[in-house]
Amino acid sequence: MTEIREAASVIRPDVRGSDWDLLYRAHAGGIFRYCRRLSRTPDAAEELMQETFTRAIRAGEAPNDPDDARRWLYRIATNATIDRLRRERLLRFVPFVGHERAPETNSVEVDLVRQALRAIPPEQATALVLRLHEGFAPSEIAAMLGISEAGVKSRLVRGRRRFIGAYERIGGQL
Amino acid sequence: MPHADELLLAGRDAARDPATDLFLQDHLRECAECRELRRKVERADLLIASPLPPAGVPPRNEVRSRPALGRVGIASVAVAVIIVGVVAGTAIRTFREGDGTSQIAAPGRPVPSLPKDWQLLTLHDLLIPLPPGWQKTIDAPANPPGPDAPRILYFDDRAGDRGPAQSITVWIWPDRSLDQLVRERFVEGNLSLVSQGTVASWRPTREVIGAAQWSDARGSGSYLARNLFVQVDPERIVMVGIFGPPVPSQRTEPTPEMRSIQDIVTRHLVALPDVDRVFTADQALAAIDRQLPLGPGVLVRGRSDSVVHIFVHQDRTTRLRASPRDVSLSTPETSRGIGNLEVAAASPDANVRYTILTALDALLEPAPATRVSPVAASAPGSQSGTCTTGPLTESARNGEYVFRTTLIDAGNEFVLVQKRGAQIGERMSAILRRLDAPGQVGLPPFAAEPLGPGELIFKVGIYKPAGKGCWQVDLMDPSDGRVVARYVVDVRDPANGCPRTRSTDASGVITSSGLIGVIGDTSASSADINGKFVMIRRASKPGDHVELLFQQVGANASAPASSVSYGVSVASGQTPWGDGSFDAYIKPIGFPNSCWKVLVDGIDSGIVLFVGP
Repeated sequence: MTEIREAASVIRPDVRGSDWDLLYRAHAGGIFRYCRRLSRTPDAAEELMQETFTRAIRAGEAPNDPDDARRWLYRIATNATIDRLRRERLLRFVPFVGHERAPETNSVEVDLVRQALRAIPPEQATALVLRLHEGFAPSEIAAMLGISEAGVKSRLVRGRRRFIGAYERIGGQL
Repeated sequence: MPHADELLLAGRDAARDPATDLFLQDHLRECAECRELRRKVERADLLIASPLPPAGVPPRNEVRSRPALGRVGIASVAVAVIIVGVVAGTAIRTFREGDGTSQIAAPGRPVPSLPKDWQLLTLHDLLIPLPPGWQKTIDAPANPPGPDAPRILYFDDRAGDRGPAQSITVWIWPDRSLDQLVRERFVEGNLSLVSQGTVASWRPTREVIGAAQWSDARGSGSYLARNLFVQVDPERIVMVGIFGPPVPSQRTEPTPEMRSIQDIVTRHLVALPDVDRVFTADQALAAIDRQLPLGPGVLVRGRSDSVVHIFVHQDRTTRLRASPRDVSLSTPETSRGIGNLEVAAASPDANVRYTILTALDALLEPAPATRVSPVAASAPGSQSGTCTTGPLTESARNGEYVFRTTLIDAGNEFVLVQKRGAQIGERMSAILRRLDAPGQVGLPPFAAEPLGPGELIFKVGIYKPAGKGCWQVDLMDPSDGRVVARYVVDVRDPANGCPRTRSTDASGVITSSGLIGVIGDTSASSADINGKFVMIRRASKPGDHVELLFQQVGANASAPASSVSYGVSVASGQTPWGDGSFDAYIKPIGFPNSCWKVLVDGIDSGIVLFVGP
């Protein structure tokens, strides 16, 4: 009664579990940290990281070059994060949401930084975190996001201005 | 020369030449405000770059345990895998193409009428249909968590990594009643209520439309939100919501396309209850078979386009603990866990997958008596005027021979017999022995006929040669007269039992209530596949949308579906009752000798239709 022949024939031949394991081990920590910087809770960061790898696996082949693979994963994480931030912003203005999620228990400063980053446009916030927190060069961010290097620098300039304003507005001392 | 602000805000990324550096140094010496800005920029950079408190990275298996769209987890050990081909020819008999309607509905479920290429997600014990390409982007509890807090899901229409163009949200509330939730949370709450009402559907569906404001860096505006509420099970309410897009300085509303998607999602979104019980694969197959006829027994059919995989675990706990392995399937597949079983339905048609998965709910109920199954605890045969159908030989029980009664042509009732491994040209003969009265009829040898792709069937005519009654069918090998399988069938008069509406009003409209009527006839032939009944309703006008529900009635239940429903629009045209009529198509109910009561927008019309041979 056991029969697996048909099941085997419909499994995609390009699924390479061992490669994903390697990618995960190499980059999950960084992606999780990056997502945490921009997420209200660790759960949300985990969801984003999970979403990143889900999208990556769904996309099929990862770049062979380790640096390209890293940039590729950050690009997916950035898009997922921007989507999340936009959606949460929309969600916040739906008047019947009612309740906000409880914040993560952190130092006041860490929370203020996170709040300020979340208060500015997602594209600028992700550019700032990729540049300052993750250490990507503007040229790498440009390649990652599919925009020009000048566009990245513009986002960084505008992002810093907005971040400073937002940070002070919510009570932070610079 | 750029302004000093921009140079300062560019931080270490600013490309500076010696002249610019000199300018900046000079400027800073004279500008206290600029020195303050530089200090703030440096401080801000430090804050953003500062490391976060340490936190463990979730292990990979946690990530992978959440199934991605279009993937199915296959437990690799200690699981029996059973694959059953859904015979394409048989499936076509129940999922006819062309009008977007299907004819099968599990009890308490809608008749699936999904666009074929839609995806089905199983999340939080719900079956959620979505258009192709949409993805889940948010799945989080509202906080603070508590018994009243909803679970919030967002799905976006996206292609690759482009930004979302449209979205739909699904909120799941525990422990509320539909009316209470709508009244307390939305109508009497802080929603800027625009309107509320109901939506015609197979279950109560409430609609609340509200206005909301938004604002962000781009500006501000307002939009309308349309929320549909349904009770999916005794403990849960689900809201399916859509919004107008955020366009600065404008008030927007959901597009007609989004409303249509929302309607389809809401109509088909159902709970998939689970239970801590142990089932056999055969029980699951029997449950599916009642809604969507399967091939005989357990088999693999290379030519079938729809496949059911059943993963049999030791118990539910084992199933939930099983570590899935991601595989991508060439055919769209949706899986559901129930008890110790993981059942995966693979089909290019979302309606087939939907029917297979919802059919499993029958496992949670006492097994109903059907025409092809013996009544529980009662041996097949005739006793006290009751004919109990079912197999009398092991070969008819174990799937070697599968018997089905069906009406195929005028005035005749057949037993369809599927034999495992039958060959083209193979012949059988039969003797019919009446159990509720004296009588015996011998049938001449008959050959296997193709019923659908890859399937052969022996058609044993009963009604025409033998008449109605409780008949024992002895299927024999004509070469030696040996009985190879024996089954009891209950043959009824296929032409009787349908009280179709015949009364007319003064204008000649067939009607019993005077409110809803039929122009022409309430009887039609199932062979008229493109035919229709023309219906009218007082006060309807062209453009109105009408939800039709057909419930099978009469003693002769020949159709495999107990109900069929779909929506139609009122078309313009003069009738005895005014302008506008709507069509009840024969195709969805086109089962020979079937009888249907018609409900219009949930109201019994008093109309009964007969579909003859």
